[in-house]
Amino acid sequence: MLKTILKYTMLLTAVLLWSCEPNTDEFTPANGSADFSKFVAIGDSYTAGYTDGALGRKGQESGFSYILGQQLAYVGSNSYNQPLVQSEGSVGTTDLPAGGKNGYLKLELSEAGIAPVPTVGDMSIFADEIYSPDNQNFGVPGAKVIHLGELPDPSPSYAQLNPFFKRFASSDQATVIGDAMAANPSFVSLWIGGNDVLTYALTGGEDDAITPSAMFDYALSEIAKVAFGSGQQGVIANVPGIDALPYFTTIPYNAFTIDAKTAAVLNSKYEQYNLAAKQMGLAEMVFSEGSNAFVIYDETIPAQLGSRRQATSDDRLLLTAKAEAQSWTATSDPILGNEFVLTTTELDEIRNATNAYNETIKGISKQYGLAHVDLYAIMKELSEKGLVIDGHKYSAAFVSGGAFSLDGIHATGRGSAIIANAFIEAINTTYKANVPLANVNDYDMVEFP
Amino acid sequence: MKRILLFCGLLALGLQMRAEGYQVNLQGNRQTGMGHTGTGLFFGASSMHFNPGALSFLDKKYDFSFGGSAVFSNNTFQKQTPSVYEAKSDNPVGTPFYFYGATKLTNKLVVGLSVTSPYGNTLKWGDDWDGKYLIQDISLKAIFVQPTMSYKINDKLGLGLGLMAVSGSVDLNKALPVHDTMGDASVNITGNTWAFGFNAGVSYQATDKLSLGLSYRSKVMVEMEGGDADFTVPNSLAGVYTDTKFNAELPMPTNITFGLGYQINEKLLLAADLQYVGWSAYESLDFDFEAESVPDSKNQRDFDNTMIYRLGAEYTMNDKIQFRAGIYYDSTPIPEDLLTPETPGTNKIGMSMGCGYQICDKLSVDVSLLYIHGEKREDGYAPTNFYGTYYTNAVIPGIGLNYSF
Repeated sequence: MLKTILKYTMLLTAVLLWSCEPNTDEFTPANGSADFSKFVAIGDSYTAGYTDGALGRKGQESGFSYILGQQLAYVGSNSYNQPLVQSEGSVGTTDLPAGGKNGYLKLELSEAGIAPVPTVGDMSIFADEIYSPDNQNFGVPGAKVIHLGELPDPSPSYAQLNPFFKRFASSDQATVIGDAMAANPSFVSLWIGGNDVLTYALTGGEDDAITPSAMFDYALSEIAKVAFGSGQQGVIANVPGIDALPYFTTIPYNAFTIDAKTAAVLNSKYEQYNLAAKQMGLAEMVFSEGSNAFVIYDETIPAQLGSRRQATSDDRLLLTAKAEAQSWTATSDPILGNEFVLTTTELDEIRNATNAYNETIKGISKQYGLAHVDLYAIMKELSEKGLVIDGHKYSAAFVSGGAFSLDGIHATGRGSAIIANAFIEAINTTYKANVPLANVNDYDMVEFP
Repeated sequence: MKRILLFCGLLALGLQMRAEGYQVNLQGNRQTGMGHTGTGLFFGASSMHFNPGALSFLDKKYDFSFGGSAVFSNNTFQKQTPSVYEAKSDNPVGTPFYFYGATKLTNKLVVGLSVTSPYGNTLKWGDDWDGKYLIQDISLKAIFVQPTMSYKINDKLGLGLGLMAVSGSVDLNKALPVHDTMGDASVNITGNTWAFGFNAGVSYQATDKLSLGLSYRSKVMVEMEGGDADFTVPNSLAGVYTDTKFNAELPMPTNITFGLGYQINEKLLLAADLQYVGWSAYESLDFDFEAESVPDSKNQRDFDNTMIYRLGAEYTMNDKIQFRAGIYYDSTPIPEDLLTPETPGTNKIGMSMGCGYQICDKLSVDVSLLYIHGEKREDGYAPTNFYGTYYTNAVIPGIGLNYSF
C-alpha cells in the first residue's frame, strides 16, 4: 500500500516538475504568397532614415525601411544593406549655416526652457563614394517622384543635383530607379510623394512649387511600370497630410504675446489699415494685452494694405516662426513673412494635391496588386486622437509626442517602427503572410537632456 | 482507485483551469494538502483562519501551529500575433507563512492569535521588457494579525470572531515613456500601512460523520497614505517629475466560505469548500500624487466576484501517518480587456497532495505540495493597448509543525 502510494507520488511529482515552465504555443512567421528574398526600398528621406534634421547612422539604423528589413528577415529576406554614413557624424543640408551647424538637432536646456538646437554637421558625408551593387536602400532625402527617373534635358542628372544620391549612386548619370532595379529585387517598397508638396510647404509657399497632380500621376506611373511591371511584388504607401506634421501645427496662430503698451502702439499703427479694410470688407486688426493673432504676410491682401492681415486658426505657422518672433525687438515691424506661414489658400493647394497624389497611389496599388499602406489615415489618427501602443500614447505633439523627431517632420525610432508596422500589416493582408511586427518599445524617442 | 485519481489528475493538466487576483490561499499545510479545504473541519489552532467557530472545539489545552510555503511561480508572455516577442518573468520565490497559537481558557472558551499572509503578489518581468510602461516588478505583501475568540455553545455548535489587523506594503517599479541617454525614465513606488477587518465563523457538528462550517472574512481596504514615489527622470524634467508622496488604496476582498467535512470511516475524511471572493471591491488602482506637477494615475480594474471550488481528502494510514490529496478550481476575477501583466490572472486549477506525520505525542509535521496550472489566456489591457497570451503556473512545496499539549 505504502509502496504504491509512494510510486504514484513520485510519478505525479515528476509530471509536475517536468511541466514546471508553462508550455507555450509558438508563433510561426510565414511569407504567404510573397517572395521576400531580395527586399529593396525606394523613396525619400523617410526611406533613407533621415531624422532629427539630418542623415546619420542613428537614423539609418532605426529608419522604417531598416526596421521593415529586419522583420522581413523572419520570412526569407537574406539581408538589408544600406549606404551607411561612414563617419559618426550627420548632415542635414548642402547649405552650410553659421558654425557649420547642419547636423542632428538635439534638445538643450537653457534659461528659456528645453529647445532643439542643431549640432555641427559632417559635410564629408557628401564625399562618401559608397556605391555597392548589394545596396538595398534607395531612399534619397529631398527626392520627389520625378527625381526617381530620368530627368528631362537639359537638366543635369539627379546624382549631380542631389549629393545625398551621389554618395551611393552607381555613376553620375545613374537614376534612382535604375540603380534600384539593378539590385534585382523580388520585393519592392515604394514610398514617394511627400516632397512633392513638402518642399513647397517648407518655404511657406514662397519658393518651389507643388508638383501638378497630372505630372505626379504620369511620373509615378512610369516609375511603377519599371518597379513592378515585370512581376515584382511590393508595397506602396501614400502621402501623410500636412496637418499631421508638428512642423506645421506646433506654433499657434495666436501665440503673439504682447504687453498693453505694445498693443496700444499696434492699434494706432493699424488705424488707417482698419478704416480701409472695413471699406473693402476685410477683417480689421485688433490687439490687446496678452496673446494675439500674429500679423502675417498674405499676397491676396491688396498691396495698399501692405499685403498683410492677422492670422486665423485656419492658417498654419511653421516651426521657424517661433525663432523669428523671438528675434523681434522694440523697433521691429512684427510681421511673419511669407516663409513662415501657410495661408488657407496655400494649404488648400497642398491638401488638394496630396489627395490627388493619394488617388494615384491607390490606383497603382490596385493596378499591380500591391500592398497599400494608408499612412495618411494613420498619421491623421496619430495627430487627432493619438495612438496607444504597448503602454504609451503617441501623439503628433512636437518633442513630447514620441513619434516625431526634433525636425517636426521625420519620425523617431518609435515613429519609424509604427510606420514599419503599418507596412507589415498591409503586406500581411495582401500577401496572406505572417510577417512579425516590430516591437515599438525597442526603439528610441526624442532624447531629453 | 488511486489509479483513477491519478488519471483524473493527469487529465486535469490538459483541461481548462482558473485564478485569483493577488490572493494567496496557503494558510495551513494540512489544509493545503487537501486542496485548501477546512472551513467545515476541526483542525485545531489553524481554524482561526479557516473558521474561527471551529476553534472552540480545540482538544488540548494549548495548540500551536506554524509553517510556510515556497512559491515557485512562472509567467510567460507572448505578444499578440503577429509577433515573435516572448518574455518570461524572473519571480523571486514567494514565502507565505502562518503562525497560530491558541489556548482553552474554559471548557467552552478558546482564545488565540494568528499571523498569516493571505494576500501578496511577487512578480518580476524585468526593467526592459515590452510591458515596462505597465509594470517592471511588483512586490505586494499583507500580513494579517488576528486575535481570536471562540465559544462553544454546545457539543455541536461553535462560534468565533477575530479582529484582523493588516499590515500592507507595496514596492513596485515601472518605466516612464521619456528618454535620456540612459534610456527610459522610471518611478519606484513604496509604502506601508495598517488596516483593519474581522473574521467570523460558525461551526456545526451535524452528525457523527458530517460537520459544516461557514466563515466570513470582511473586506479590508488598505489605504496607503503618504507613500513614497521616487522618480528617475532626465535632468531637464526633474522639476516636473519631482519625488513626492502619494495616496492609494487597495482592497483585500470579502471572503465567504461554506465548507463541509464527511468522515466516511475511521480512515477516510472528505472535505469540500465553496469560497466566494468579493473581488468587485477592486474597481480601480489610483495613485494620487501630492506634487501638482506629477499627473495622477488612474487605472481601471473592475474585477468581478469569483467562486473557488475545493475538494480534499485525508487518509489515515495508522497512528502516525496521514496522506492527503485535493483539487480546486479558481476562476479569475479579471474581466476581458482588463488583464494587466501586474496581476496576470487566469482561471486556475490547483492540485495538491500532502502528508502528516506524528513525530511524538505532542509534535506533528505536515508537508504539502501544490501545483497550480493556469489556463493560457489570450487577452490584454485595453486602456494601454497591451495584448498577448499569458501562461502561468506555480509549484508550491510547504511544511508546517504543530505542537499541542
